[in-house]
Amino acid sequence: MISEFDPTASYESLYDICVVGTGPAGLTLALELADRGFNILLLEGGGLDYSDRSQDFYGCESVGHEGWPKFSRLRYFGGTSNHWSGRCRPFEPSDFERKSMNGLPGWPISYSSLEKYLSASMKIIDLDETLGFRPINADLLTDHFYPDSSMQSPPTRFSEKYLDTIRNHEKIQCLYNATAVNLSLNDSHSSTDSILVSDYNGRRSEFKAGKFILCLGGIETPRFLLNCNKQLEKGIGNKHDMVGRCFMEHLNVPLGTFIYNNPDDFLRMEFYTDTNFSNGLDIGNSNISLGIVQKVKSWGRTKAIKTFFKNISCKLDISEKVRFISDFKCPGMGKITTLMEQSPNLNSRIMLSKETDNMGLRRVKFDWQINDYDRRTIEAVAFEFSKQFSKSQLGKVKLNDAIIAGSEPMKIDFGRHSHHMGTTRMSKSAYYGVVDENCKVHDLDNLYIAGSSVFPTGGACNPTMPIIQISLRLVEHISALNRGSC
Amino acid sequence: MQLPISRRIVLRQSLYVSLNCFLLGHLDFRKTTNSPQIRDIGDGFYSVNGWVITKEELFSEVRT
Repeated sequence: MISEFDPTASYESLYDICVVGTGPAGLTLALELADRGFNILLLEGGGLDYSDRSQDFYGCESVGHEGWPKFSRLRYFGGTSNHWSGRCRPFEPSDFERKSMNGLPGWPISYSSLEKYLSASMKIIDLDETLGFRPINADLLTDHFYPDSSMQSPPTRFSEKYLDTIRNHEKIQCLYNATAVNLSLNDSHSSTDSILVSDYNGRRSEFKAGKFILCLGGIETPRFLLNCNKQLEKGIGNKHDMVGRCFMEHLNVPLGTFIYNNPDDFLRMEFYTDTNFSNGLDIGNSNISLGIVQKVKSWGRTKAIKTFFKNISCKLDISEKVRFISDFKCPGMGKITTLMEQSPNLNSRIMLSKETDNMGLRRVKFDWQINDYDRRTIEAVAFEFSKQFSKSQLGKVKLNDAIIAGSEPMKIDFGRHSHHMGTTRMSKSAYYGVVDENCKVHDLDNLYIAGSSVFPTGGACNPTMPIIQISLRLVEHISALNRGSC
Repeated sequence: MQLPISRRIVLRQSLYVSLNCFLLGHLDFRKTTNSPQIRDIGDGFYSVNGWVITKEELFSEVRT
């Protein structure tokens, strides 16, 4: 069942589980748990389609590196799956073998405990398991880097694929335009009693459930917990001041350009850091992508003339001088982009701004920071990849000025991948994180978090598929708890 | 990288005069070769105005 939230309507007095958020994590959890017989309340703050009114709630104050937090996610049914690219790559076993990174503990669970959900998660996002993860440049091997393997989802738009299933599922009550504004704890602050929900006019209702699962993404989940400060001044789950800390992105560092020795044979290439290299140097992992960025732009009756100029000017190395006649790059020239792992960093964080939204909730103060660990990752990957590219007779790399300038600290300009991670990180100890190995908030009996905000480290893989894996793992955990209580 | 002064002059002039023939033939160094930025990045590799080349390439390909 799905309907717009109506504060005057009567709903069930108690749900088994309340899932907050309808992105890949929320919808996976709601559907899988409902199929196992749980009675689900599913809340979506936005509507069934995009609206400026809803998206405005993501407006925030940005004081660190610019990460476009307002528009790098979407606030309506289906969440950010409505604009994801579809690239899928699982975590590496080595991501789970690091005991710590930048002084903070790594994953407290094993690679195999997530890997067992890979097949099921692939089905959810329409990946053909028989094809598998295959490298696109398998024959190009270098030391310290190996051809990266990924798969491409259509990409699955969760709103389109699952809306009718949600609508027809008798175990799911989905309410949209229903913004969660507060959680109420019991007297001893050991469990969550109810969730307060508001419509756009500020009319509110309270819902009770046995368990609550927050699936609001890496920015909104800590914001919500910090705003739940009526009973606990520092917010819920924030006894040790870890909510919102360790915000991580994947760094999109433009390493430079390259010339490939065999441009006629060129296909897009992707490499990934070897475990011995990254763990040996204690740096982050990285995906390095090479693509020819511009082909000859010539057509029509002048095409032959332009092609003639292109060929001769490239041979004579006067391409810059004749570019006003024919805009082109010489054959084999391309650029190198990256998806680099950022280390967990206590100073990179989501805080609350003084400004409030229309619901009266304080907006996000977004402070994305990188540190010396990350700069070391950038420099090591850039230098080593350039050397290996040359050693392997593939071609030559020209690194960007900021990387070779050697300034301290490196003044590198980098972009984002819109992967928001780490802000309610998973840890054995409450001193280093917000949730335990089962995604349950430390010190609270029945509050869980799913999504990339629980990643203690982010590897160099796109997070959507691992988000689904972790959601399926949580489904199994909750199902097991229920079986145990029967 | 610190080179002897005579070697630096030779290198600078060489790069300026003959970079049309340098390496792959279309690396556009000419705009900046009055003072090429050279950095030793280890393992026998150097960065010359950003281009990562080997020590052998750096010296053998420059016409003197």
